[in-house]
Amino acid sequence: MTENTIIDGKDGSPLESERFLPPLLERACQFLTDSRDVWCKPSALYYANLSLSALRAMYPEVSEQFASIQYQLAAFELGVKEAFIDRISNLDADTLIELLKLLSSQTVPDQQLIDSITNELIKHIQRQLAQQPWSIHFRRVAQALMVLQSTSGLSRELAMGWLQLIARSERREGGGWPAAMDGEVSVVATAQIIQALDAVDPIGSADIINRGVQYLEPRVEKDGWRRLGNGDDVFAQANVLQVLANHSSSTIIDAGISSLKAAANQNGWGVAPHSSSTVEMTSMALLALAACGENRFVPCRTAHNRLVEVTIRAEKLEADLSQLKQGITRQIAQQSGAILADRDKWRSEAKQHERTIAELQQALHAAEREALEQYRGTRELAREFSRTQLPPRERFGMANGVAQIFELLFLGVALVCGVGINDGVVSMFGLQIDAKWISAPLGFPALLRLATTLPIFDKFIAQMAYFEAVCFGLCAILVVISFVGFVDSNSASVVAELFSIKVSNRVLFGLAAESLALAAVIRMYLIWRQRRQTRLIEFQVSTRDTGASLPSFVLDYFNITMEIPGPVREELGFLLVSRIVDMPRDVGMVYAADILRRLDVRSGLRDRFLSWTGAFLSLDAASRRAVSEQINRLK
Amino acid sequence: MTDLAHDVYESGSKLRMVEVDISVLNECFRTRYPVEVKLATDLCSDLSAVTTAALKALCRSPGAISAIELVKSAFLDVPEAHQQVMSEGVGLQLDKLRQTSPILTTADGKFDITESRYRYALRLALSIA
Repeated sequence: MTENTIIDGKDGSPLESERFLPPLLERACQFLTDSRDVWCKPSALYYANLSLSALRAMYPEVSEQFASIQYQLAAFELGVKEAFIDRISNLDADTLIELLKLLSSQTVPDQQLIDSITNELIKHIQRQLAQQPWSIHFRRVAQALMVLQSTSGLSRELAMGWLQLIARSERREGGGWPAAMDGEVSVVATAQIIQALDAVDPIGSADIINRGVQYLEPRVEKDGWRRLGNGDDVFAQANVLQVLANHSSSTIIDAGISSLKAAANQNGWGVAPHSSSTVEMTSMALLALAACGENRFVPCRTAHNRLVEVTIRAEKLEADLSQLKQGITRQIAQQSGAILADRDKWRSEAKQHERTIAELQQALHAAEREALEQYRGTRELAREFSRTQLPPRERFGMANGVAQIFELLFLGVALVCGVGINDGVVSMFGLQIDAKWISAPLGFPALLRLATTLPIFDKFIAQMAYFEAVCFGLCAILVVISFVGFVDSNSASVVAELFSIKVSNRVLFGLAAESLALAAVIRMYLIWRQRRQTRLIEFQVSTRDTGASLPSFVLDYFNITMEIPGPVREELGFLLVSRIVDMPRDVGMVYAADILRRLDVRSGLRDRFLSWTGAFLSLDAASRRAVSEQINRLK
Repeated sequence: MTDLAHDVYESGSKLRMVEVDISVLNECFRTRYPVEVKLATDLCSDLSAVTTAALKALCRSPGAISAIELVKSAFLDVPEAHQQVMSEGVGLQLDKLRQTSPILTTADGKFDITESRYRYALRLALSIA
């Protein structure tokens, strides 16, 4: 049969101009129609509903197929009403379900009767749930749900309650439902429950439905369709196929269709392959095949037109795809080019940075060396500075003392010579020496040297102008004396009498010249010393307001940090002058300890530095700033 | 049987019932014979309506019975030719069930239920108790 094939009804009239049924299904429908003596009676409600459902599934647009049996159907429906209407309350749940199915499928349903049956059915199931919940059959609940959904007789609360019962009864291990609570999982029960959930709450129960399908599919894939149920069981195959038709892949469905068709006889299906056809199995198989679309075929003309459309669309899509691919390729190439350019740029920048780092490292080394030299110079200056803090007499130290002893000795010799001379000649070591050559050059410097031992010398040396003035004054006195002596030789006796030495004016003049020369030497010494001291004074300027202990802070800092590696010392110095200096003592101590630990400074140095930091942070803010400023300048 | 009767008595006493109804008996049976109930439930789980009707007829039958007699008993007003066809399928199905379950037995082409407790368990599973 092809397009425009006419399927004849029983009376030979055309059923549908473009409808096509495979011969097998057609013969099966014919078998059902022919078997109406079996099912078209009130005592066979279940079979009647099943057969009518199958026939309606095969011929959805109705009804000439049933024309020949219209009267029989009408009589059947009347018979059903007469048989059951007076004893609805005595009917079991299965019969009530079948009655509802039949009544709801009528063209003009008897709503009053439907309502009373609905109430009775709900009462029946609720009573069973309350009294013997373990005995409830899930297949029955599923059937009730479906039929009540179709008659709109089920309230939402009740439907939810039954759905929850079904959800609770699902087996956690592997999924699926048993026929009743105490049983093993059943493929038929699972299939019928999925069917009911699909009909009643497909969205809310989507997860449960999926789990049920995931239970059925592996059973079919692993064992094959023929081993479902009790084996070679058309009833189980038809039930499962009817459900999976809406949920599974075409591979599984095709296999199910093939298996079911293989089990068919010439005119329908029996309980097992090739056993005599029965109304129940034929109806079930037809319903399953109808669910799979085996009764629906697309006409060749429509298929051809649609195929052409699809081909054109596919070509367009392929062209779009190709264009898209080219665009993407181009875009990627552009982006890659930009990325490569960026990479080259970053590489050159990295090289530049490497060079800069190398230069900076060299500069750092140079700076470290310079800092070390500066530090050494600073230490030297600091030593010098500390020496300047001593009284001048002490700075002369031991050498000055020894010099004083010798000079006293010379002075004594000079005095002895001056006292014991005869005619100005001293006999010494067998030599005749003029006493003036001994007393004059030795005595006067000895007197000066002796003067430096006096405490008043400290004041003079501190203010060089005085000392210099003294020297020049002495020189001037001597010059005056010698000038007087030069004018009047007798006047020289004043000095001669003082030292019991006969000194000529020329000698006195010579002494004055010596004094002048000595003053000049002292002057030169003081000038040199003043230059040195300028640097010390500069060092002292920053600390002059903070007391005498601040330079020692600076020195101690450099003493401690000198043993720390250069970069660490730099870091430490930076943190000290930038952060620690402004912190409270306790916070600063904790911070310093943390920094030292982080910089991995060895424990001895760490303790010393912490001790120093503690003392440093005990200073007032101005002193801290002075010390840190100095450290920052010298580091 | 005595134990079951005792169970029913105890349950009725607990519920302070003067006269127990069938649900108490069913509950006690289920508690005392859970394995039999489970076997019966599993036996009926994947059955078609025809086979179910045949099993119900078997439960009502006092002794062994053939497939055609079962069909005739279950489907009184079905034409005989169809009864013959249906009995073929019923016999096939019951034979399969007999092979997989200890509840059913067959001898001389007739089917029977092996023990009385299985019979009641089957009645429970078929909702005819």
